[in-house]
Amino acid sequence: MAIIKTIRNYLDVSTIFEDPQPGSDNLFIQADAYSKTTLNPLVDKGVIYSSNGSVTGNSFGYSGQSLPTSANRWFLGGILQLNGEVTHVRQFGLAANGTTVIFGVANSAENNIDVAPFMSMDTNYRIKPSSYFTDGINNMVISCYNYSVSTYQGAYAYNNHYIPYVLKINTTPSDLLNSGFMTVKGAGTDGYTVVNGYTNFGDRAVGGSGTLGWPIYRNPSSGNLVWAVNRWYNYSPAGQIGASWKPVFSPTPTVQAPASGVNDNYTGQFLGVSRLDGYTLQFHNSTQYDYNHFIYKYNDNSNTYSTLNTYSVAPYPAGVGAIGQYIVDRFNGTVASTVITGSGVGASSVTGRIDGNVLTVTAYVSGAIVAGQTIAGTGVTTGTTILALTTSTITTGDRTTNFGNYIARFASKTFTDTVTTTVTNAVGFYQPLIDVTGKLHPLYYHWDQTRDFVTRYTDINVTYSTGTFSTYWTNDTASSGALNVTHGLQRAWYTETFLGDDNRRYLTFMQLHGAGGLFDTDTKKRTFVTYLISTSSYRSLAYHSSVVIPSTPKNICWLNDGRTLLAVIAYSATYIYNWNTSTGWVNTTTFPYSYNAIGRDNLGRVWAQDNGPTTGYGRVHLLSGVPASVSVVSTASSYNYAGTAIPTSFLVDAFDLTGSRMTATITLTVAGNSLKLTTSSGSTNYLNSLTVVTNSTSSAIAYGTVISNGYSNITTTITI
Amino acid sequence: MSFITEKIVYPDSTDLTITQTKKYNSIFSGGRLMISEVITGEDNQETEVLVIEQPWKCHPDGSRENFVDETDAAAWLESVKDSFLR
Repeated sequence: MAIIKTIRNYLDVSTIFEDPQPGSDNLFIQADAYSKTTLNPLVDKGVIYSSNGSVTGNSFGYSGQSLPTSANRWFLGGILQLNGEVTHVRQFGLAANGTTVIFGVANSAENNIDVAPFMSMDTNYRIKPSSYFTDGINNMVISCYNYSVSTYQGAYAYNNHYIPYVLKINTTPSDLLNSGFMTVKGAGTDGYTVVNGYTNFGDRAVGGSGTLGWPIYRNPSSGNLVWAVNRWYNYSPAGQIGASWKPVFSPTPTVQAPASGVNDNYTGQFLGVSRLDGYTLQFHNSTQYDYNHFIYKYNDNSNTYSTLNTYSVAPYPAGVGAIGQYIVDRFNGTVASTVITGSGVGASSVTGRIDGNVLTVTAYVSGAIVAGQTIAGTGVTTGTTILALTTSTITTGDRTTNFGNYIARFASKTFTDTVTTTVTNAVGFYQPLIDVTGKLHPLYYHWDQTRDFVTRYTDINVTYSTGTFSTYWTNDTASSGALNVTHGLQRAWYTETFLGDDNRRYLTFMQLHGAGGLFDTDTKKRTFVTYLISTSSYRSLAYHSSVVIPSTPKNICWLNDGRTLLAVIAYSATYIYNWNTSTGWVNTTTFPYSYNAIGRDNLGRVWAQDNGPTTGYGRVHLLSGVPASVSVVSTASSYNYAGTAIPTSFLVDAFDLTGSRMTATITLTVAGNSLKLTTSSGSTNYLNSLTVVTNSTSSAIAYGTVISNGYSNITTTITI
Repeated sequence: MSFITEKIVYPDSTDLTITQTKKYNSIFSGGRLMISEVITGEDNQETEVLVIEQPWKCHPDGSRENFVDETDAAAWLESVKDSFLR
């Protein structure tokens, strides 16, 4: 890790703004320009945030969090405005009185979490604080951040329902670097008064609203810019059914969202773009019932929506032989409310419906349903047979009765489904469900993109070689389940999937809480549990491993595209985990800082920011491309100096975020009089400092000589 | 032909004694249900804003089914209005 810069002046501009334009090598720390690749300052270059160069009155972004005034304590974003995935974290929130620290305090809206890590389920369309859009002729650079407020904040809440942003239409890297100023919209001198226009997607322009949103997709057909948006209304997260600018490259676009297009007590996620018509899909996830979901398609051209699928049936055990859900071997269309006649052994007829390859039986006649039973009926594909019954024990997932209520839950990214059906262009995803017994039964969704039909599978079989889910995990009990104190987005349950180094698919379940500290005394509450997914069925999961996060995880940030490198952000430290198929998530390094933000630029480098010393206006850290840690290990465990010099050596290694050795130039410096460094073993050319170049395959060796009694320390400095 | 659907909503989810009535005017056309929200302005003038273009009936288990006709569409919307209309 390298400290790149300590911010010494309090200005209402972002700590870092990365020019997102392809080919641009420009990065701005506050307003000063640097080469993105070399980090050398670009003399006399910089970005301008207003027509007269004044930042007074802009209030776009901020560098640190040591001054959480009544206005800016609702900021969630605006620090690291990178062209990659970034997670912002509130680390030093104060209560409404402006003095009470609310670290570790549940039921406080100041502890709300950033939804950026979860907001998009489609890795083709990522949530980025700094974005670039073009149609090949026009272009746009836009950088935005959010507020997340609470209903009791009155005027602040009233005004903070918009998304502040800086914008430049039809620009070039040279333009931004030399002359063209960005237009700032949506923030005033006090941090909340609306000035100069703003992005407010309507519907909830009332007190108690907040908006978490980012521009994510330019619809090439409509010419509109679609945003991914979560609302915040009173106490509840509320998914937004579509939001857009019409048209994208206008300086004064129509900011639109469907009337009555907010889904209270649901979180919203950007599911992807339809292959049929180019419109976007949203996945809405109830905070009260783990099995209640809506899937919407937003027509940004007409500013209307349609509902693709709704799910409100509580899942129940499959394979019991009577009512329930069964998997059949043929992919049928929808056959609703029909009598299906069985043949062979088992029930002679059943009443129910078929959706895809799921038979839902609501009544049966004569005996139990058995595997291998062929069924027939109007609309049923000839030869359809019930497959082997499962042993799924899934039961409901009703948050109003068990394991906490009003919990924001987020589904995984989508991935290509090569198993469930032979449909071309199908993707799947998981969303977390905790059933009435406290067991995890992630639901699996299959999106047939050839017809935009989403099938939900509830017959998820989760197995453990030892114990059960409760052996490893338990739920947050510190937070209230009452709506009027939950302020909904302080905590989240999240499932995410990725391919391991063995090319097998895994699923990790996480419980996060923005308050920090709440789970420190209970390891089960801060345990991430990972499952290995069967190669033959995405509905068969086997416990793989679990990892206890050292302190309460407040949020996470994925540090590589494959989602095998993970930052878990806590209050006083950020833990880096690298996936290893043999052992699971491995903590490769820990940064002992309270990071306000961590994320990647478009070169894939990892940046972070903490408040820094003294002024607390922010301190920029570069976490990758430089060693995350350096190890210097003596080849001798002890030295017994008896008046004769003792030649010795040290193994020197530099490690990256994954824990792998890397090439780096390390300067060793001795503090103390008992040890000298040398360029070769036994040399009498004694040095107090020595430069060593490490490598990626083995330890580098540094030589030294013990020349007297006493202690000496070796410190290391990295050259970048 | 069009039909009106009304739904009671609770603008403050923590105080369910406060209610509002939302009104929707729907037209069944080309197999689709076009649902407009009827908004009453301060001058008591009603304006309609098209909100939903629904091509099928959505069932609670995730399945969907084509509309038979306007009567079928109206009956379905009435049956699901509390969860379907926002």
